[in-house]
Amino acid sequence: MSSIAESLVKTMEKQTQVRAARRQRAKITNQVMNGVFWLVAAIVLSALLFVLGYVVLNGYSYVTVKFLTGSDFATGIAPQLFNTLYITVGALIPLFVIGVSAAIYVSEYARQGWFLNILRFASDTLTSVPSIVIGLLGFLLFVTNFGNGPRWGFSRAAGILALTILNLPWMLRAAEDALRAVPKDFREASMALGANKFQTVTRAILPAAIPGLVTATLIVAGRIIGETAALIYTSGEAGPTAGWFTLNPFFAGDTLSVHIYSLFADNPTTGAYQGRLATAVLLLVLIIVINGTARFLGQRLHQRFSGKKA
Amino acid sequence: MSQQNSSLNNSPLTTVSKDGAIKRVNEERLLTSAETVTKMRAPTAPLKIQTNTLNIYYGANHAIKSVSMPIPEKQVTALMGPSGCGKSTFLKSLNRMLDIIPDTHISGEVLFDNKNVYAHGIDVVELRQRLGMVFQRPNPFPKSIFENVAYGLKIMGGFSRSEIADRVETSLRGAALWDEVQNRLNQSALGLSGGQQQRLCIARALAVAPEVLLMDEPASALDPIATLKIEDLIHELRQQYTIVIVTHNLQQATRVSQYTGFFLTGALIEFGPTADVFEHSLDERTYDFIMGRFG
Repeated sequence: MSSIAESLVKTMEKQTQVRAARRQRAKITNQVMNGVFWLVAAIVLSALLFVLGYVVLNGYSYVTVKFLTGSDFATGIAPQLFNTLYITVGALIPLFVIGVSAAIYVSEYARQGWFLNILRFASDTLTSVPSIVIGLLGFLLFVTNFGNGPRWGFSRAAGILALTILNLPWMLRAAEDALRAVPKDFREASMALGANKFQTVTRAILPAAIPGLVTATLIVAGRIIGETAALIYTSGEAGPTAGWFTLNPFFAGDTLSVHIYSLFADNPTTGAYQGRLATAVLLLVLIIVINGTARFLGQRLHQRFSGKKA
Repeated sequence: MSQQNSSLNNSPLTTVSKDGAIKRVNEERLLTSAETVTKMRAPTAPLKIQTNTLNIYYGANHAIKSVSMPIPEKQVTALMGPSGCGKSTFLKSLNRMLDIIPDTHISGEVLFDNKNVYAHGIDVVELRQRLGMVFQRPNPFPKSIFENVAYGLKIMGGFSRSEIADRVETSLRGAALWDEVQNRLNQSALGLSGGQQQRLCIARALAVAPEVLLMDEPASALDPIATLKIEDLIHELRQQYTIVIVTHNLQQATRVSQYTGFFLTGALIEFGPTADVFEHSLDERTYDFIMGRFG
């Protein structure tokens, strides 16, 4: 029988061996996982590059001045560009007003409780409702009178309202984030100078949140530009036949995204393939520009609050 | 309150017990007294603020325990104690800045010019203008230097453009910042250094003509030189304003203040003239804190 001292030494040796083996295993695991994460990141990046590369390489040559200014179904895109701008701006106005107001309520006024919980639940649920369902709702509410004859018919107004409903929860969440990003210090400073809540919101918080709110709006603008299903049911998928360049909201009109769908779904005419690709190129460029601007403004926001730039 | 004052003033060794009654005590008892009994060497100067058995709860957390504290007029009163002892909470209760923190409950009274600030019918907006506040971290708005100082005046309304410009200049001079910023009033306040930003925040508070300045560790985020400037400024401001300053820097307390209150776990352990508190502590815990044994 070994002495206690011997047994102790043996145990310690054993432990040292076990620890060394463990360290070695941990080291290998670390290296393997590094590789795995790198691979996943590479897959994400290459998926994006593949989509961009495929569309742009195949489509850029079809984006011509004639294509941009023409208004023929497959060979001209001017009405769709105009409609995209019209519907995007048209939907952003109510979205901004309602979304920012609701965000002010939620972040500045509302107390934790059942009402706020219900509001959040409703908002979160609305974000997961398929957009085509919102499109159907818009169709029933605005296009037809619940199936009992026409109301406005397919119209840009119906499209704008459907997009407002669809994007409201996104706008609310993004605007709320922008408001919450305003440091608590400003609220305290304002209140300590004798400002009431409303004065604090309008004079201290909103001005400080403007870059964040612009970013929020641009992110939602990107979503609107990419939206298809909700619009097929409301603003219609056919390009306007006559007088498309009008501000009348009760005219129908398709956007770039819807146009890609129309070129696919409606009897493929000559040039439909080229038209689809060229439209997709335009759409991607638009979305990249908007997201880039949003990112840039987001950084400006950070500078503004951290005081890195005068 | 005047009666209370005179009794406080007549007896250098008194305690204010939980129910607010003032009792003369012998020195032996001072060393063994209960947590919420304050060793009080009452100020001789007239009082601007007096709290009576002030209790503050954050939810179930008893943050301030029955604090009765005098704050003399046109003097600097330092509140010191380890982190989490309640000194900032106490400070914020004076101008009702705790109102904006949900689930806060307050009992007892804060007498400001003999009126309880928690009484019904008190105009909180006016109160906060009379008790200006400077925060731990400089927090200028992301606006121009001018707009920062003018903020409170614009909130109040009724000032002409030239009146506002006048007051902005006076306030910036009062905060010893005018010479450094007079040529760039329209530039962003965020371009200023930390020390300048803090003096800007002081100017912003001065602009609405307060009677009291409440400062919550105003120099803790600043470098030593900026700290000295703030301390010099505090000396200047004492001529006109009653100042309450929270600090956990003991040297700072001795440098800037005439009176000191020592807080520990929400209770006011000791109050008195700063020199007395530091050199002849009446409570062992004050002595230990000053000697650096904890906190």
